[in-house]
Amino acid sequence: MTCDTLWSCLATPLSFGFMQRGLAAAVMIAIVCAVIGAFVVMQELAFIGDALAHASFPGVVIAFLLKFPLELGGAVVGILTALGIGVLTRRGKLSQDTAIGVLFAGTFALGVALLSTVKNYTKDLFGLLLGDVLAIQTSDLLVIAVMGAAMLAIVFAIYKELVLVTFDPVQAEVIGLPVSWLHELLLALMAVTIVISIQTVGIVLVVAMLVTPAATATLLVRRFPLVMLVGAIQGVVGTITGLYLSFYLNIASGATIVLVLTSMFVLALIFSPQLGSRHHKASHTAARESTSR
Amino acid sequence: MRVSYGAQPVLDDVSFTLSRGQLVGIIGPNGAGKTTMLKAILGLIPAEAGAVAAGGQPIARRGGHVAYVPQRDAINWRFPASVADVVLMGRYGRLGWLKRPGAADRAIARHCLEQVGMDAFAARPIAALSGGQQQRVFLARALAQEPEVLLLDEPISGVDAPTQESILAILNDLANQGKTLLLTTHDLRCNMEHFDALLALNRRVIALGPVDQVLTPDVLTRTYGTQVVLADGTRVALT
Repeated sequence: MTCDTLWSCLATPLSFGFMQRGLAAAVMIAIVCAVIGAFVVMQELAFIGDALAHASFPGVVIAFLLKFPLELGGAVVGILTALGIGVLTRRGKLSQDTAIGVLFAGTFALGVALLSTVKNYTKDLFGLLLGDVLAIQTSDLLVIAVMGAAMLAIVFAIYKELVLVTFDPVQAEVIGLPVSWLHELLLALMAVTIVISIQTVGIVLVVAMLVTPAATATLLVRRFPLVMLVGAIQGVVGTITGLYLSFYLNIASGATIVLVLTSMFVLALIFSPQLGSRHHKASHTAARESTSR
Repeated sequence: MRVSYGAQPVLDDVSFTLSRGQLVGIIGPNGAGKTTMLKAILGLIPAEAGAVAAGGQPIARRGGHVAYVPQRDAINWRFPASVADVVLMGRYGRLGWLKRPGAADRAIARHCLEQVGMDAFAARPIAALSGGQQQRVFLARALAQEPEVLLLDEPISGVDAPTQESILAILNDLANQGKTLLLTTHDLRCNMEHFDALLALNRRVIALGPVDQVLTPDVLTRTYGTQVVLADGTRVALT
C-alpha cells in the first residue's frame, strides 16, 4: 500500500475497521504492560513472564475452540499457573526455576495437542503464537478495556505495598505485609496482562511488551513512577509505529511491533551513556564494600 | 528463646532484659546467631520457644514500634528510588492499606533525614550514595517509623572509621532520647565508648553488661574460642 501526503499516510489505515480495533487494542495494552512491566523488570521476573505466556496457551485454545473471548480462557489458566508456581516453590522441594520449566512446557504442549484436533490448525496456531492483530473483535476490545482498567486500579490501590515489596521485602515483612501473597498477586497481574496482549503480539513475543518498554525507561529515568510513565509512552508510540509499518510494508504485525520496541531500547542504550556509567559505578562501589566486609 | 534451622538450634536458651534508652552492641563470631536473633525478635523467623516483649507487652509487628535497619544485601539496589522516597517508606507501616503518605508524613521523613544529617541528599538516587550514607538513610527510614526499639544489623560494617564514628554518635543521641537500640557488629575495632552495654553471643548469651565487663579475655575466649580478636590496642589483644 502507498500514500501521497503525510495526512493520507496516517489516515488511510484508519479507514479500515481492523486497523481501528488493532490500534485501540495496542494503545490499551501498551499502557497496562508498561505499568506491570516496571515491577517485572525490577523484580527480574521476565523469565516467569515468558513462562506464564506459554502456560496460558491451553486456556486460549479452549476459548478459541468454544468461540469464547480468548483473553478470558487465557486469563483463567494463566492465573491458575501463577498460583501453581507459588505453591510448588513454597513446598520447597523444587527451585522456582525448575518448577516453571516443568509447568510451562507441559501446559504449552497441552495447548498444542488441543488445537491439533482442529483441521488445518497450523494457520490458527500461527495466529495465536505470533499474534494476529487483524483478528481482534469489538468484544475483545471490551475485554481488554475492562481487564486493563481493573489491573491499573489494583496497582493504584496497593502501589506503596508493591513498591516496598520490590525494593525491600524484609522491611515489608517487618511492618507486617503479606509478602508471599503480594508476590502471587503480582504473578496473577502479570498473567492477565500477558493474556490480554496475546492477540496483538502473540504468545512467543508477548514478553517483549512486558519487559522492553520498562527496560528502556530504566535507562532514561531514575524515579519509579517515571519508569512507568516513560515506559507507557514508549509502548504506545512503539506499538502504533509498528502497526503502521506492518500495514504499509505488509509484514507480520506482532513481530513489527516488537522490532520497533527493541530498536527504541537499543537507541536508549546508545544515548544514555552517562546514566549507564553512573549505575555501573554505583554497583562497583557496592561490590567493593560487600567484599571488604 | 530458642530458634532452630532444621534440627540444629542456632540460638538456645537466649534470655535477657535491656533497659530503655540503651545502646547495646551484640558481638560474636560469624555463625553465632547475631542476625538470627534480630530476625527472631522481629518475628521474621519463628522462635520454637520463648517470647519477646517491649514495655511489658508482646512485640506487635504491625504499626512498627520496633524498627529494623537491614544489612545492605537485603535491598534491591536496581530499584530507582530517591533518598526522600526511601525515608518516606518508613511511614508505610503506620499508614496501613490504601492510604497514601500525606504532608505530615513528609514532614516527619524530612525531620528524620535531618537527624542523620542527610537532608542535603534528599533528591539523590539511593543507589548513587556511599555505603555509609546509605546506612544513615536507612537509619532515617527506621526513625520515620517512630519506634521505641531499633534493631540494626551490622550498621557499622564495611564503612570507614570516620563514618563509623558519626553513625555511632547518631545512635548515641537516639539512646539519650530514650530509644532502645540493639545492633550487631563483628568489628571490635570501633570505638566501644559509645555503647552502654555489650552482649556477647555465641548460640547462647555468654555475657551481658557494661563494655569493660564484657571485653575481658575470659569472656572473649568463651565467645570467640580460638579466633583471633583485634581490640583497639589499649584493651585486649588475645590470640
